[in-house]
Amino acid sequence: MDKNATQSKRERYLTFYIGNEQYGIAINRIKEIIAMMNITKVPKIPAYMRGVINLRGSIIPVVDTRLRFNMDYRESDMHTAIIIVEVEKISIGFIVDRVEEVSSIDSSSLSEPPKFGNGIDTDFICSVAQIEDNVVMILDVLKLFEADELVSLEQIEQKQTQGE
Amino acid sequence: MAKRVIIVDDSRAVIATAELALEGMINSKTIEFKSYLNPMELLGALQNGSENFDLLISDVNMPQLNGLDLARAIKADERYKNKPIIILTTESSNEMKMSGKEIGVTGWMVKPFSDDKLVKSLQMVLGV
Repeated sequence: MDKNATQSKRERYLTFYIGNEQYGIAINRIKEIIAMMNITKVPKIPAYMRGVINLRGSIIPVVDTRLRFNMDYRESDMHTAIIIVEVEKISIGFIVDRVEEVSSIDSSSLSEPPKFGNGIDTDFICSVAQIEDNVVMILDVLKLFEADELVSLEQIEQKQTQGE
Repeated sequence: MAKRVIIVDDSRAVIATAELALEGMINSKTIEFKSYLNPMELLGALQNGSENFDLLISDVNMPQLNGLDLARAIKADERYKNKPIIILTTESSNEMKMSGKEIGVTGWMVKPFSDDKLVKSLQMVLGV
């Protein structure tokens, strides 16, 4: 009934929407999905960082993915979710408009991301996949954060755990 | 033989959360995972015999059909009356538990559930 053939080249991705666009993150990076919760603002952090959440005692920085992509701010609603991803042993939450599903994507249906020319940063899109009629942009979470940003995330975490 | 686990919930986030939690069991082919957003679609498929399950996990509040009514309809069918059903709910009131017991549901899980709890519940119910 279900297609289980050719497992070897299939990878699984969590897909989600930001605006009308569908994105995916490899599930081996994902720790969990949580509903929107209260975010504590932290001073002097990039505008796209909304602050930190306290998830069962762990302080986790949260990124507004819309703002990171230079899209307009949007109020959260019942579909808004935070995807907790592990990057270089640091947990980071990404706010997304709506979680779609876990999809198996065959590596043969992945292609290079389009080039839009100078000034448009598509670095964090590592590939583009076609799932049925949808185009899904697979995100490279490592590239969403430059090395220095990871360091500052670490500092935020430390500041919070030390109670400032 | 992989056990067929079906989850029905109108929230895609809950379905994805469950699927992520069960990834290990799906990969090892201990279970096969199938999800429905619409309980009516599931009920129709079960009634016409195009669907089957070894364990059903159902949300309660769904716009098309309440999870307890879904469970009642499934349990009324000879083919499925002994199949386990776990109900997912945000609050577990005694009243709800009583009607669940009466219908014959196997257990309850309060949302948000932890990965661990979901896996353990499945292992227990399915004996895997």
